[in-house]
Amino acid sequence: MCIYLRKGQAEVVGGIIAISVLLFSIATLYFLMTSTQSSLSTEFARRASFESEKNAEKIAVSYDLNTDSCIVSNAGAISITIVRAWQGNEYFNFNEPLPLPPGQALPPWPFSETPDIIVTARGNIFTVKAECEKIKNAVTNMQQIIIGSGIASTLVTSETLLNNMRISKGMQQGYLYARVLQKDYAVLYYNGSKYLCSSPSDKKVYSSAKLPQDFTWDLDANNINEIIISTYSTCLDSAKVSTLEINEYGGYGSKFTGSVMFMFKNLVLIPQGGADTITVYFKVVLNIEGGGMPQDVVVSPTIVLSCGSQSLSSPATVTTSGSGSGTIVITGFAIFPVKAFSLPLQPDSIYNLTLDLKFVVGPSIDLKKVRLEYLAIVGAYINDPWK
Amino acid sequence: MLWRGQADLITVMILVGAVLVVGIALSALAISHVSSIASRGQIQQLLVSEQANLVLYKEFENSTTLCIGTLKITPSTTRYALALFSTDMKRDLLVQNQGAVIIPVATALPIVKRVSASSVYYVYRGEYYPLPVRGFVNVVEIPMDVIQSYVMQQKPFLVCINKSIISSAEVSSAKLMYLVYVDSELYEVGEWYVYLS
Repeated sequence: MCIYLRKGQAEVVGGIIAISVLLFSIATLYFLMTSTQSSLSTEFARRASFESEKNAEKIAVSYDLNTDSCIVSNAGAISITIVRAWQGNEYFNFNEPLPLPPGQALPPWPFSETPDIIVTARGNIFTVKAECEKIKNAVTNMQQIIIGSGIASTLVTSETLLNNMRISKGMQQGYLYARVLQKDYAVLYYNGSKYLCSSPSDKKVYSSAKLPQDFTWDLDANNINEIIISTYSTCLDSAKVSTLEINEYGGYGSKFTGSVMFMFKNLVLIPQGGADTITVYFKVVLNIEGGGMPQDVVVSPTIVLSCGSQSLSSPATVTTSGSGSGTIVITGFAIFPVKAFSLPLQPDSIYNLTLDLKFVVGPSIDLKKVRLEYLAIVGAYINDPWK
Repeated sequence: MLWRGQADLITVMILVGAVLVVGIALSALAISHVSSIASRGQIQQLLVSEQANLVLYKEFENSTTLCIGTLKITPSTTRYALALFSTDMKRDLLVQNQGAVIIPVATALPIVKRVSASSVYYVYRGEYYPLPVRGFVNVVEIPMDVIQSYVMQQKPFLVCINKSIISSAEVSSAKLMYLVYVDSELYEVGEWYVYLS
């Protein structure tokens, strides 16, 4: 039996074969491209994730005055593994890497000296010894003039500033005051038995006999009273001391937007051959009404060091937290990179320190109180008011 | 004398044969070409993966030594080879000075191998090119104990360059290349420039 191809059938068969080859080629290339793209995305994501984790590694170096030792702790949010340390030109490999969970400090080093640098499993290098030496110098210098002991002695609370170092000593050159919307005000502090007042021109200590019982000196209830802004006339008469609100100092309408300053005259003494950086830490406690959240209050603090016509400022980095009950706590720090930027701070000169807080609050928020709880200055002396 | 129709039949057979030959040849060419592209694509994927996985950073430097921390994000037994060239890629600096590259964390001595220069590819602006030198080049292979004790445990290992040996070769800068094997060829997946101050 003979099979005859009909006219054109051969072309059809040939065409099918050609198209099959073409489709096979295109499909192969398509799948290759898809696979390459997917592989690239995966690798990119993996590397980006690694770099993100690497950048999140943070080490804090501190100095323990009591044991004269350096403490290395994990100040970041992720766990760190230390795999190697260097001392001079020698390295020391940890056969069993040292894990360092967030917030925890390393146990004592397995060798006699603090290492120069440590290396993490993610390839980060942290300088330890030099940082520790810097802190050690600063803490040792501060120790000479500040009451207390240990690292915490660098902290100058409102109590230390007002009660121990300023007002109770009657120092005319060491006063502090507040400035709200460019207008000067006095400040108050209650030490448990007396209340103290400091203004741009005067400082006095008063009996607390007539203080109202409901007066709140410690907004965040952490047993450290804050510095409170007041009018000078209120300051003079304990009977008039009341829970004053920020709007009474010149806020616009019911909302406050503007600047609140705490000004410390002759507070900072720049040491001869001092530290590479001066860092000023602070804590401010706010009270708001209107049911707002901490993020509804935007504050931009700046620390200013001034002496005569010279004035240097540094914006601060802040962290804001709130309890939801109207109390907001703002902690922050500002760094003056003296050495890196060759800042013209004169050694042995005394500088005024100003904490300038610029506020922008949400439309539903009433900012009621702005109080200062502490300052800490690392890398410079607190000027000794007894000299 | 051909029978009637025989000439036509022969002509048709010749034409059909020619068409078959040309068709099969074109198909084979197309398939071969696609296969070649696919193969190169797979190599490219492998190299991209190796490049993305390799992390290099400077861990230590003094006047005579530079140590590069080398880390692989995902552990694997991929073996690396190291080549040290002048930055113009014209001089193999390991030819005269095989001790210029040191792996201090290794317990075994690194193996220095001579490989054909034409089988080593370096990266320039994202594309791979064979090394512009003739003959053989020297590469230092990372010992297996380093792979097991460091790469597999996700710990960075050290590769140190003896800068004094480089300066004796009268070059002011050098390029350390991290290479991986693909079949018998070596492809660059990471590099570090060494400058002599």
